[in-house]
Amino acid sequence: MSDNKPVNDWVKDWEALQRQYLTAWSELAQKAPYASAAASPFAVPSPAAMPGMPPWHEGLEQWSRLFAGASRQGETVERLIESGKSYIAMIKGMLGAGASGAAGETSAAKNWFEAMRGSFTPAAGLEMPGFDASLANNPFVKAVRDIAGQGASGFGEIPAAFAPFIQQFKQEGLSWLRAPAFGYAREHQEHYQRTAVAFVDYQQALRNYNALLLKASERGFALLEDKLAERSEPGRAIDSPRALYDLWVDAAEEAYAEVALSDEFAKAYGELANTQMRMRAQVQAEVERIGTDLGMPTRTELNSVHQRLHDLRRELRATREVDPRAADTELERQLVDLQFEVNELKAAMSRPHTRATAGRVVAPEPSQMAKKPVTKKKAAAKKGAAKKTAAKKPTVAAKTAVKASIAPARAAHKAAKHVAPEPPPVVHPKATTKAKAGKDEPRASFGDAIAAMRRRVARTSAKPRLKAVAARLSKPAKVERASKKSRKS
Amino acid sequence: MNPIRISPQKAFEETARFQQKLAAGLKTLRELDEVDYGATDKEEVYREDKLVLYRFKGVNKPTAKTPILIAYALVNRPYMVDLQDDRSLVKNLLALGEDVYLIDWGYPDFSDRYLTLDDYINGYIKRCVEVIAKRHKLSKINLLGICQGGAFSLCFASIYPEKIRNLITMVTPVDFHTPDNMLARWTRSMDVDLFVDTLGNVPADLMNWCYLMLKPVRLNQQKYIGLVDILDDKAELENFLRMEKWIFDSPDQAGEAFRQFIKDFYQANRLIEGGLKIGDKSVDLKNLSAPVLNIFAEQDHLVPPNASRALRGRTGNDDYTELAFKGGHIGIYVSGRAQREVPTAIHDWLAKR
Repeated sequence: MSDNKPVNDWVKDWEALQRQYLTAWSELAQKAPYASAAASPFAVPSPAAMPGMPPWHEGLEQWSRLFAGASRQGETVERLIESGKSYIAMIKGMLGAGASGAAGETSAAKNWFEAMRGSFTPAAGLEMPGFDASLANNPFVKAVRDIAGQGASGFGEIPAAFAPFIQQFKQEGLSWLRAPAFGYAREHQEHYQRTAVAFVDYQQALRNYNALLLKASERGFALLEDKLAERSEPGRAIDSPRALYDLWVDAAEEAYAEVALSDEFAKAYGELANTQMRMRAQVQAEVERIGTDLGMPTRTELNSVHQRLHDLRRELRATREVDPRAADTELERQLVDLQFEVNELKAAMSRPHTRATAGRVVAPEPSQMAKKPVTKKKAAAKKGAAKKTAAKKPTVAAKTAVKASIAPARAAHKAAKHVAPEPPPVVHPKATTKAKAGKDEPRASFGDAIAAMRRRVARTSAKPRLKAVAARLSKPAKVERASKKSRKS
Repeated sequence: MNPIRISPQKAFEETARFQQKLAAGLKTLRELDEVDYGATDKEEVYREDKLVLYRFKGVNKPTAKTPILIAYALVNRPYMVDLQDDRSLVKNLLALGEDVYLIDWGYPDFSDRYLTLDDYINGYIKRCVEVIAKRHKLSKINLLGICQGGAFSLCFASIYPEKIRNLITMVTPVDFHTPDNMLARWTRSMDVDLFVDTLGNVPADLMNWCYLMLKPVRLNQQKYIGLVDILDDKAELENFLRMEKWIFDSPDQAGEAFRQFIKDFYQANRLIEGGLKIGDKSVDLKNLSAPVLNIFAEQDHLVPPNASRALRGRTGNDDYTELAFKGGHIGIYVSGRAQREVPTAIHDWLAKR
């Protein structure tokens, strides 16, 4: 509540005011100066004839103050009160018109129209008699006002602050706004020139748009006249302000529809939207410039991030659309390859004759390779780890089992596919001198071998695009972790 | 004869009564809580980004074997189909044994400004359809598209005819260039690229104002004058406020989707003129093989009836039915007549297919 009075007091005040009105009205209606009211159906006591009485709409004003920001239904109440004010103002205007039209029915009807034209509150800045207040609340004016709420603080004041300059521009003509700029600040000058031009264009577009709304309003009264003419027959006359108001609404909407569906209106509407967008864009650019100077993130930067993120998500979804598990399958396949090669290498390195020691490589014997036993301790440890994994992630364990079964086939496939495998780097040149030709291939360290195999797998991947997606989605980290895990195992 | 015969006494009395009603409504308005909406229980069955797919739970188990997915417009919240207990399309459909799902698009923010129609139609709607089909072990489901959601549904059913068993469109624009389509006319001269590039997402307030400007006096003023008449009726007032909440509870529009919708649908009228592509998929209504029930409102000021009627003869299936509802764009969901006629019409039509 905007005032400190308790609600009940407000209500009492309001009711007292209404009682006052009714009493005053009844009394005045009986008094001599208004005896002529009998002759004139529209002769009503004016506020001046009721000294001490506040204007009629004061009740609504009180209501408005009572509700200001206090109700859950605040917006509805505001709309209600605004509409109520217009409605009551209309009735008041009509009554006045009726009074002055007492001389004859024809002039009375004319006065009704004039009263209705002037009865609605004109919009701020739109001093057009007869302009319908509800039409004045156009979305673009509001949108410009709202720009202050979207980061361009103080934008609402900019037009006012620029007004003298804009006026000056208009007086001198707009030609200088398009004059070339020079020197260090030429970019800024051009920007401000464009902003000023955009503002002037917008104002012009708004005037054109409002002129059409005015045209619709005028046309509405013409249609109302026609509709009233239809009511001239006995028994069809309008006998209440509300009925007249409703008839006017019908006429106004009909007229508005005529205008709003015209090409002229479509053009004016489009121009209004376009000029306002150009003006907003200019202001946004200025805000971005200031933001950049202050080291603040800008809308453009955020847009860029959002777009990249969106593109990435689309790409990921597209990949999964093809095969819901495609990306995972590809990565898992690589992982299986790696695991297989790691195991192969470990097996090879665990053989006594092939184990590389400092400066010496011993060629293994085939029989010894085949007979290499696994110690019970190690086997038990592996079994335990496998059980643990299986208990934790049964599905993963199942997948691993399947993959293990296909590992030999993969190995065969790989052997056929890898025509020229990359040789591991030579790390112990001395050993090669003692090695026999054919059997004593240069041996790499464990880490180098893994790296080489990973490179090989990466090169031979069937779907490089998937790898790119995976890379961007940080999947490689997953692979690396999995690889490390397999190394440990 | 003077057609206006208003006595000053009557005028004053009417004004006084108007103000008295306002005062009486003061107490009622202050006592009212925030109005709620949604009459029917529902469960979330799928979620993606800001989208949530709900399944409504009726008192009894559904008897229909094929569920209905409701795809609402992006420009308003979908709870219009289940506004309150005695105004609920969903509740009535459930009572008739239908199994009803609903897509809630959520409220896009700036991180969604690059969502395209491809994302909405080939992405969100498609995945929702697939989720439902999988749940019910079906290859096809029924799709009910409303307004803009109806246009999306037409696109979807044309691109993926194998996924839709029956298509129901409600107050759906098909021909965007009928002479009485005010919104379409207004967009003709708009530079939509400049518009979206400048605004990013299109603010809900701006959208609402555009809709209000279709009938500015009636919707901005006369409606509230009429409200005074019901201020002393709490139930009626709650109904009014619930509707009011729905009207202005509008999400912002994802910029890129808005751009394409205005350019391809409103400006170029590609849904019927041809050449419409959603992502990399062409839309040809002749590919739409599902039977169609097209429901439109005869007094619709947003989607003129002729804009909906244009669907006749354009789909790939001769099984096409029209239902002209006597009411407006909103009344088709919430009016008393709508409660009696629309759910039954949908149910009966589906039952025959």
